[in-house]
Amino acid sequence: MTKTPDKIKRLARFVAMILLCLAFPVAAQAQTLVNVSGVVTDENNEPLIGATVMVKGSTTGTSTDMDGKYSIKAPDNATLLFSYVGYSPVNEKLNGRTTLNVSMAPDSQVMDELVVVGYGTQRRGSVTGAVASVKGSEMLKTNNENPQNMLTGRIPGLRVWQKSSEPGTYQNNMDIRGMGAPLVVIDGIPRTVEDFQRLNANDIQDVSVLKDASAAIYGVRAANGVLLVTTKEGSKSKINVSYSGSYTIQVPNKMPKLASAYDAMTIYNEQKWNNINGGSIGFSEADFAALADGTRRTSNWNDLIIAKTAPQTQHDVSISGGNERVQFYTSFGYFYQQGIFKSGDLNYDKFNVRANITAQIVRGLKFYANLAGMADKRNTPYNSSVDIIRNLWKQGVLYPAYADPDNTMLNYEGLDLEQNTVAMMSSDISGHRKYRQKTFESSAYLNFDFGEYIRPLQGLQAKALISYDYRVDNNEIYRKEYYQYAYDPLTDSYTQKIYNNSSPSNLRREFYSKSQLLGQFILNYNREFAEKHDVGATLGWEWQKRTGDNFYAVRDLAFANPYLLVGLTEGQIGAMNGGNNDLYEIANQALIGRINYSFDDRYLLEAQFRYDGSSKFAKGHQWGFFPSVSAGWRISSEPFFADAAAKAHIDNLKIRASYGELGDDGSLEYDWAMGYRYPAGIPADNGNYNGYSPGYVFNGQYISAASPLALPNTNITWYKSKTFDIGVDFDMHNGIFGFSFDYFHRHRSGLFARNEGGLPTVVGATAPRENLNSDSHMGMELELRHHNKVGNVTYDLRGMVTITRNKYLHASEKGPYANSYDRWRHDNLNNRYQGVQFGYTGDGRYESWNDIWNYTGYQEKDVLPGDYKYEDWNGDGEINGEDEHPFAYDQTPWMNYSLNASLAWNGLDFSMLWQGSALGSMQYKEPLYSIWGDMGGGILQQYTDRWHPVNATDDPYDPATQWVSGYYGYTGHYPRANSSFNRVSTDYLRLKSIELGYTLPEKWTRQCRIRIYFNAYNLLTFTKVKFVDPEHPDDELGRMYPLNKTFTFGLNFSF
Amino acid sequence: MKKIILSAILGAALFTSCNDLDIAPKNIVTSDDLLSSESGMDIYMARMYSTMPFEDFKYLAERGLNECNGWLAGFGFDGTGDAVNRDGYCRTFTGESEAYWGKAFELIRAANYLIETLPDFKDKYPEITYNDYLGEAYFVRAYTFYALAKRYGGIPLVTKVINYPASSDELEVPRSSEEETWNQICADFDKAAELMMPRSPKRGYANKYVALAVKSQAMLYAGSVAKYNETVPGRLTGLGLKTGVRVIGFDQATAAEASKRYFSEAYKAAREVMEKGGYSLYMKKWAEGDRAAQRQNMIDMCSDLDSPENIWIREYLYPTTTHSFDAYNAPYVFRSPLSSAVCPTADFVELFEGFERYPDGSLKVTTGNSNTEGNYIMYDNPGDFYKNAEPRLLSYLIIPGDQFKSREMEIYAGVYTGTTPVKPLLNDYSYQNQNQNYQALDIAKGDNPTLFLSPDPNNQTIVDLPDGTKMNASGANGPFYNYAESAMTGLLGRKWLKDDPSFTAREGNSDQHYILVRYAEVLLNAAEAAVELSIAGAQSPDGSDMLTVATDAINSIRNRAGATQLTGRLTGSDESRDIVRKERRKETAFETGTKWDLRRWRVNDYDNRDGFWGETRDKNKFSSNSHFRFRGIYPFYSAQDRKWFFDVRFECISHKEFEYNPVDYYFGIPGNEVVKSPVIDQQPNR
Repeated sequence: MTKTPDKIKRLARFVAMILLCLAFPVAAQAQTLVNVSGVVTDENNEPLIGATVMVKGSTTGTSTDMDGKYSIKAPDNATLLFSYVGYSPVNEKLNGRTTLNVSMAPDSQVMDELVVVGYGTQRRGSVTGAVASVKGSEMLKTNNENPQNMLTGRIPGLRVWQKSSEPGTYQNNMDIRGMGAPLVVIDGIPRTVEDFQRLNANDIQDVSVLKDASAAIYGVRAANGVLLVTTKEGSKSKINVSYSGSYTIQVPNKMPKLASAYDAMTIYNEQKWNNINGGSIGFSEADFAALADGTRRTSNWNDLIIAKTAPQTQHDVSISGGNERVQFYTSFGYFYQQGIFKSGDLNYDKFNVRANITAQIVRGLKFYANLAGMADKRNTPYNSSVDIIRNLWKQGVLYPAYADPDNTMLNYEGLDLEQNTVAMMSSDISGHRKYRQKTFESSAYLNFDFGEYIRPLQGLQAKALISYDYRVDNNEIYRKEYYQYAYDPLTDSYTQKIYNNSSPSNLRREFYSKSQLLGQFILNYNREFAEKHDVGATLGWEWQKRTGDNFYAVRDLAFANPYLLVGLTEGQIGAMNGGNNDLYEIANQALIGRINYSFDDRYLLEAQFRYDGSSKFAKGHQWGFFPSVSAGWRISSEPFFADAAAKAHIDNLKIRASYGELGDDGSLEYDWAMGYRYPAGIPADNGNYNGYSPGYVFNGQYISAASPLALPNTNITWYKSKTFDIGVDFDMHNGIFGFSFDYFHRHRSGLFARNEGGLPTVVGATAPRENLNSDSHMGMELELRHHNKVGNVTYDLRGMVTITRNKYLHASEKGPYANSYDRWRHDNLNNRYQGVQFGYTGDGRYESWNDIWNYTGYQEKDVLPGDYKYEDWNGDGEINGEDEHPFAYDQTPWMNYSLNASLAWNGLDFSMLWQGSALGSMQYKEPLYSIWGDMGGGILQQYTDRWHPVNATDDPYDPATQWVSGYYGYTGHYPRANSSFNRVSTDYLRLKSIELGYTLPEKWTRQCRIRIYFNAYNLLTFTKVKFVDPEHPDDELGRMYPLNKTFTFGLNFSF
Repeated sequence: MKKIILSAILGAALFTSCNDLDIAPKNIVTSDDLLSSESGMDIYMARMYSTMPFEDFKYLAERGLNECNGWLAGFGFDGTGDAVNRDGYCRTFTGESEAYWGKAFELIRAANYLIETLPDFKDKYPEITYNDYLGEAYFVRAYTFYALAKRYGGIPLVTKVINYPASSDELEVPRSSEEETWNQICADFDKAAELMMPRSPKRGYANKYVALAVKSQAMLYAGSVAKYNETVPGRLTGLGLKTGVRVIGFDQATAAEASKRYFSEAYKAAREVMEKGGYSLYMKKWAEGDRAAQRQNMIDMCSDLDSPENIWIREYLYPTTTHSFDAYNAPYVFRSPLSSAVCPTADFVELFEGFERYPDGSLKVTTGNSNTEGNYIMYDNPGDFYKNAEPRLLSYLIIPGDQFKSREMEIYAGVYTGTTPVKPLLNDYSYQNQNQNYQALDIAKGDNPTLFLSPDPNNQTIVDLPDGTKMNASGANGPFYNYAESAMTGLLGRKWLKDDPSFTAREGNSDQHYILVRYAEVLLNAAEAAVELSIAGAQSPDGSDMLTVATDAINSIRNRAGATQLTGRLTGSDESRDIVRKERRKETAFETGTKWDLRRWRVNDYDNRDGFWGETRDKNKFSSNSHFRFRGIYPFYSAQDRKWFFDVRFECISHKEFEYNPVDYYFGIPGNEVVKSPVIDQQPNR
């Protein structure tokens, strides 16, 4: 047991004293509470559902129900504040009334909207940090299975890449301003990005993003910003049931296909024929004839393996409502997605349940409980999608899938490594993998409002929270033995052969459990003094404990049956994974605090800190202090501004700035500890035959080895990140035009690196990680807004662009390097921007023999028309490694932009989102770079677009030969891999989402609301990237499961 | 109110104080855990042994030790001429794509750490056990130094744990001279032999005699280098640029003495194993005059875990620690997922007895005096060419028509339907005409060919035979002219393969053990050291009659092999030395030593290449300057008379060409290590 450090205790006591001093001197005012109710309507007199009603100057609030009705307890002389997204807020003094009907007018000003920030909420108008948010309803306009993809293009500075749409894998990258993976906080509890990805999007109320020092209140995990997700709560209204369902058709987006057998044979012949010393012919005229008359059997592998479309469906039901004392929101969601493999054995389903309950126990004491459960199952064939695609492409089309014409016997002859892709994609044949994940998330807290009992403490609330999350992974990996056949024409018989890598049948079961227990005690204070001084303070204590445990078992099976009980006793394995993310126990503690002050809504000040402790560090290095300050000036509220002519036009003008120090301990791995990791590794299913075996056999018994840790560094600590942001917000003419602009800069120091270059190899140990490197990160963000109404048509336009880039300031030497040029090329990252790519700049193509003969520079001896010319960058008359120079960006684009448009007319609604990136590049690799396969394999359709002689049998090296031009050179001739011929810009612009909906008029539907819609995702893409999607160009060397286009028909129904 | 708040805060603090931040990482163990008990020491040993520079099933010469992953591994195609392989991995042993350097120092650190730290735990063990563990540490260090020395010559002799951070003086260790390096290796092996028990505490551990056996091998290397560096044009030695230390080779003045000293050490160590080790040649299945039994005995020698010949083995265990030797090297019909990586050569076959020869000693396949003269000799069966071959050779090979895994192995290159007798297919079999292909011959082309060949196993050409039956143009196991994963020399390797019909190979299910050191090699070490010492005119180090020891050693090996006995007693002469060398090439073929033997004898470069085969052969018959090639024995079926004939010619499926230059006798120090360190010297000749 450690004692809480005295320092914190003293600090806590001090802050508490200040709070009390602030609370007491205020004079008490006599008040009576009355019940006020009414209806809130929009400009068309339609009820506004979910409008917020607040008692001004307090935290008491409610929202309107399905009929626009609300009911609230308020002092009889109070002012009620009505707000709704996209509408001008309305202030109404009660003056004793108990019924108050309000009509609201549209407005893009959202100054009084509540924004979720760390450990609390703030009014949009008083926010001084770079905090952006998006409503769940807005996110739903992008139809996708992953809430991350719904955020794409919705929030300035939040960058999301979808890498693949493989069901259940959620392969996305997400960062804020290019800073790295953010901390994800769901309903106030730090959770994981996996949890966010698996949320039911219909449950999301809103998402806030803390992009600058405002994240400092999350301390040692906040250096990359924070994503705050809030789920829906019930409202004080009658029971509201809503259903939302959709059916989606997925179409693979940009996926290379295999060329036809005829083309494959032709190109294979070219490959063999293309030899300056005289080529040979692979397929003869007789072979072509046999193909034409069907005696040479082939299969249409494209159609056998890849389906044209795959279904996806979703059904969500939510029931919410409540009364004065208890409100609830409950939901149930089901989701199913199938993959693009014809077998249908790649699929995913997911169930979500949620219950969010709010109850007033006694006056001033509220109880909140959030309970959520998720269960999903990802089924895949035993072989991964990458391997299936890899094999499909490599094996080509020239050999049939089945040995017999009746398609009953799988063929192996002629296939790459005798592996038949049909078997690979079929779980019935080759086995399966099932990844089952179940999560349970819970939090509950009591909130006590001191003001309800003690007038002087008005505005002071205390909150005690406890949260427990649990996740289990239950995986099953089942390899099934199967046989394949070959036709022997000599004997007109079939040869049977076991597919070796399928044997013996084998089962691996894995069980992982992870849990998190978290407690918070938080004091919140919010009060306005003398109508001008708004004071807020937060002080809290948080502790957290995370544990991970696991085990697995492997057995060969006596027969093909996926249960461990049919296992053979010989060679069985039971063990566990000892990785940092699999077996761990980590504790954190923190003291957090924040003070806000605003004068007359003009001058805004905020200071916050977190004193953070983590068990990941050595004793004496566990605690860190992370402060931040920010300030804002609302010029539009200045008296001088009120007089100015501009006032008539300008609704809001605010300048804000923030600075703070944050930390990141994410990748610390007990670098201070000395010793060994045991076991050194996991014996693979196949015995590490092609890898280092992490153990040794003595006396016929396997003894796991222990692998030494890197040399210890007891001084290691989290890296520090200093963040600065300055921004301006502007809105005019009731939303006709508005913008926000931010400039940001981040300087990180003490980044982890190993001083490999400085540690002599003869020491024989891995250099320790040290806080060595530093980098700097800067960028700008601009958002433009336009909102208008023309006649009956309301429309909104929102455009945003972020440019950000990273620069290494100091980078410790990775080394060793062969020479100083080598070092300059590969190491010296000091003061170098991220991702600079070296290579050759192209200088056109040889268009003809004359072109070849007249070329004055250096030339290979086997140059042909269609081949590639390069720029002699250093001018030495030779094209070699020294001509490589920085010529491109890497795959992470520096610029991201998007344009949102939405439009509403009577019952019709329309929205679209254009989104894109610029200043990035990619290189085509293995199968996309060249024909990657032998014996006619690897010939993708794209390779038919090539330079080739008009007559296939003409000698390509004969100058008399006539040529047809194409995209590629003559088969067998490729550009240098790292040249501008093969590295292309990944700039793209795409219509990410487009949706058209129609809400049936209420007169037809009576008590319910019915909306039908059509949505298309990734419908159009404009890019120079060929063959693959620009978002996942060279992942898995281009063989990654593709992104999809989707077409969705959906129905929303509520009553 | 104050009280409430304060007590609430205190309450929260109390609540959380249960949440201790001092949590030891769950997944880390300490030295105390490992060094204080026998089971912990097993783990420490497993750690060292799992990274030892073993060149077994997990090693591919081209790729080196760091990967240690056994991907595509096979034996004998590393430029030794024993075999060729389809892939680019088939090259002379002039370097490893992953240089062995950094991993070596990690292992040396582990050994030094044990030497320095085990004394703290001395009271945990009986003295013999304690000494044995300590001896293991010296042995591991010696073994690693030896692996480095044979690659690089002089190396940094790190004999203590280097702590970090420290000044650069303490952190850097320059290369020692090659002579100091071998002396240190000798001393470390001696220390290990002195400390270790005569029998391994567990199978797989080293012991006293393992240390001595490896020592004899290492000292033979050292003695050869000291002597034969002098035979390389321009002498092979030089000083490091940074340190002035003689990092490769020996001073001319001390070379001869050093050589004698090392050969003496080799002889002594080998003799001690022979006299006291209790090992013997494997003879369980052997029977006098029974060629089949003698062949089977040699095959079983590799797979018998309890063979008295095993001095030190590396065991594998399914499913935790396996290799894939069978998956890469089995005949094409058992392809899983690859096949036929080891294709033995005609040149190798020529080392053995039992074949008819032309006057120049090469294999006779025609009735004339050379390949181009006369008609092909016809055989009834495809295996008949080998019917008198030495049983030991046959234990290494799958020959045409052989039984393997209870199936008959079809190996033939083509079917000839023309008239008989058959004249030689090529008119020039010289090195200069190595690239002429069968498929380019006139008789194989056109509308009425008489020579039928198949391009690949998926496109077998079907031949209509004169008797009306049909036949594939190539054997089921090849060779195929466009497909190298077949018997591309007309032969396939058998050594180490599992000949078990019920076993279906796949990647990662082979678990046969590898013999790291066996008794036959100790006999050959003793014989070679004895002859070398006799040539140098040195005294017997232990008073034994060295040449008698050598003669008996060779005869006992030949006896077991089914070969004829020496006609006389070995003498202190180059001829006798070559007898020993040739015997060594034959006995240890398809193991790891041959590529090192060729290096230490310095017979790879053009000037010395006449000695490449252990016997003297005219190098110009198989090489041209730095380049050289090997031949295959291609069987053909003559349809007219239903007989088989054989064509010996340069391998014509993958056209493997090899290259070696004197500079390659020492691997270059990895360039980045030279740049990184102010004291590490590059080889002076690079």
